[in-house]
Amino acid sequence: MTRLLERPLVHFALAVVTVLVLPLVLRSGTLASEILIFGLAAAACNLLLGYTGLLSFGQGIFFGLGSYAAGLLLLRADLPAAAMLPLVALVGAGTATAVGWLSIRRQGVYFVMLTLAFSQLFYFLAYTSSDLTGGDNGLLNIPRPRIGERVLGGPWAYYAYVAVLFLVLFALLQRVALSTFGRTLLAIRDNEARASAIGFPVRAFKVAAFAISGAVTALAGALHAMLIGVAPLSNIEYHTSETLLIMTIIGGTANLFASVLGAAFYLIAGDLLSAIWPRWLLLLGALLVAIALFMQRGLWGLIERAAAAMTRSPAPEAARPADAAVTEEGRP
Amino acid sequence: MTTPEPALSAEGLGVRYGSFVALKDVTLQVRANSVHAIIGPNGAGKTTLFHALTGRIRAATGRITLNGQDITRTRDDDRVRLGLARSFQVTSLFATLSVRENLRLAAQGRTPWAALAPWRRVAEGDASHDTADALLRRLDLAGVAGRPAGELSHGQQRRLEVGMAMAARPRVILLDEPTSGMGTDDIGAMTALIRDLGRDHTVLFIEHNMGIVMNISDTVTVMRAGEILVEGRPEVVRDDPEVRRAYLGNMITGDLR
Repeated sequence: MTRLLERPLVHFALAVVTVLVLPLVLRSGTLASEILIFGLAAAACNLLLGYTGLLSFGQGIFFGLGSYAAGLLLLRADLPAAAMLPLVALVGAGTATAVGWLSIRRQGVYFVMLTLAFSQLFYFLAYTSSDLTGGDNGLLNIPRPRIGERVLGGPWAYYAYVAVLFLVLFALLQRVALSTFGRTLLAIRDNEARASAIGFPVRAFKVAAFAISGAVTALAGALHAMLIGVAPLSNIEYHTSETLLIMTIIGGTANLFASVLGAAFYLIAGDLLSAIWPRWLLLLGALLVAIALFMQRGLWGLIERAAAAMTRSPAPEAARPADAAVTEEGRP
Repeated sequence: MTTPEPALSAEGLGVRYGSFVALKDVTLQVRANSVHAIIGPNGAGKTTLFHALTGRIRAATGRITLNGQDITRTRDDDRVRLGLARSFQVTSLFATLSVRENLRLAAQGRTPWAALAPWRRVAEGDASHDTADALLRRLDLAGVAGRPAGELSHGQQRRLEVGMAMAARPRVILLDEPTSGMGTDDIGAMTALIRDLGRDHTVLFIEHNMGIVMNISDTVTVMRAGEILVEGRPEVVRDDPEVRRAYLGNMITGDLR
């Protein structure tokens, strides 16, 4: 069971299950779409945080730019969504390449500070160029995509659209994580100096990780803009970067599905709690403290522990102390 | 016999950390397919010399050539591709990755740009796997191939540390205190391994254990305070009065046979 949880195919199956289960348990199609959209952006954030060891506060830049680029391409260039999305991915990848290339020149705290500084820079850039972005009001009247003649106006129709893209992009991210490239990222995360000493051009790998993460995050931003019909200024705010990081950390950095879990938890908890108590973020803060202190593997770590506990405590009649010892030893 | 071109050579190499002179005008020639030891008290600049030779730090002065090619300005990861690999004095592994994956990555480091492809899977029959598997057997690590490197015993980690340098299939291999912290049993195996490496590689190694140095080296270089004190065959170095006066009294461990 614990071994099973390490399989990428299982993670993809869980992503499919998520897509199918959300409409059954949630009343709001908008919330369900949001979960998939932020799940995607959190997974892209995890590629940097969990796989490469880079704590980037710049994810909001790519998300926000994705929203704006989607709006501009749909409204001004009058492109269909199918043509807009690849271009948005390019914008995200390009921006992330530039931001990444400059930020990875420093390590640790200074790297984080650089991404934070870029985040502020892009926020004010968006704020001041109001003829393009709508400034404080955001870029309004962004249309929903259409399939043939049919506009995906309803929340669940659009959810289906998002779900397909979510699964495709999730699978692509998984492919990246499993590739020679993804495995080298893990090596860089573990020991950057050694990765360089055995011959890897570490900077090029980090920049490429940024580009991929940026492309996926921008696509998520585009999907979000089409969901709510606006590319709001808040999407490029520092707060978005923070939210994405929190989702990623709550879910756990062990694998990409954990990030989807983190996003789902964050958004559903927010939806439930904000109805009862407007200061619900206070509780979220407490949860983050608990995770940082006691469960650094996040929600996914809880699942792992539960699975381990289940495999270790067999049916009562078969319970023998020797079994428990063997399972413990036999774990990888 | 003519003197062939040295596999690795440094001319007038100098390194400063701020105002501290760590290496001062070091000139060194390492003959191809020889085992060359560097000894000297702590702080003599041995590891700094390794850092400069492998490109981890930039030398302030001097020139480094590898098989006749000037690599003074070449980046450290590029030097691996040119056939220069090293191991570290303080074990430096990918702690959460499996032993086999550590070696596979080190083998892959020879063709790093191919690894940049985010769509390419690592095929099971890949050459980097073959290299890793061969090394697992040679280093007696096959039994722990699937374990995270961080969980190995110290002796196993030291062997893996050297294996990581070997995985790049270098022509010149630099080993920084390969036996540091090892038990007596492991030291024997490591000594045999280094001697073995010397048959088809050029080995430059830093070592404090004089038994090993005197037994398997073709050449010994003694360093002190960032400079080369004496260089020569082991028996010559051992009997050198300057070395004895400067060094033998306090630093040398192990026997001088």
